[in-house]
Amino acid sequence: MTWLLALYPPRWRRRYGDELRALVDSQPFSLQAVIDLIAGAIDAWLEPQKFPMQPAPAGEEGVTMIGTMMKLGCAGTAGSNAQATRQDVRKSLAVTLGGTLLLTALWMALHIRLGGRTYVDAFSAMAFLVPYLFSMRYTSLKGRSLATQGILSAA
Amino acid sequence: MKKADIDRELDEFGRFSEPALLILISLADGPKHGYAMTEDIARIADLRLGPGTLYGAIARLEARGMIEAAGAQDRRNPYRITAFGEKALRARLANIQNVARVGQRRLASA
Repeated sequence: MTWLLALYPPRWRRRYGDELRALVDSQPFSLQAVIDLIAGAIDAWLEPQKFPMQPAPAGEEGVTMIGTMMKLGCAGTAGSNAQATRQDVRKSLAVTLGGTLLLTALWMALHIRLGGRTYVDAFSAMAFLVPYLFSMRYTSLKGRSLATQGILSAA
Repeated sequence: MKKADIDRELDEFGRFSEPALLILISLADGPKHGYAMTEDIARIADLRLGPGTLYGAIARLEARGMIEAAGAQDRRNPYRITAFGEKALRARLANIQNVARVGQRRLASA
């Protein structure tokens, strides 16, 4: 269930991600918990709280390649100060949820028709990831060029 | 801030007001992390909060200064109630007590 944490806003994940992951890890899988986490993620996007951020231990934050690229503004990522509006967040959620449902339905249809083949089951892994990457163009990648969006999403 | 205003703070939490109240009650006897809060609340209120609901309420309580982090332990982060959180909890419990007393009095005279 921890993959559902990717639905939460990045700032929220930085503050509560580890704790929530530890809590989710300690519980058995249940549909109720999945629905609760999705509802929590929607709430976190729509009602962002001004909670205090705790300083990350030295060397833990901003050392990823993408983080460094975004900070340095290299590889064509510079020049965008666009902020995601509430409407952008709604669009992003619609793309993520709609795309996930669509790809899940497609995977189920293929699974019934062709059976559990490896390339068919790959759809289940991509059902959330692909729509989520597309949805980033409305939030964290808003205002950046298509090429940059493509490179950063693929990375 | 007046007692009534402090009590209304929790009302602004919408669907998270009941989980937030239960979290404050759980933290009233000492700091706890998410898992310990969930277990404690299940024991005292016979209600198991989902992880999304628990952290939605924690984020609201922390943003309003009613609880604060007590220092991370591994991946878990215990929280403790603040003086303001204690005030809010006392005000809400007094309110609930008044309502319960009136309800019971009316039932007794019915």
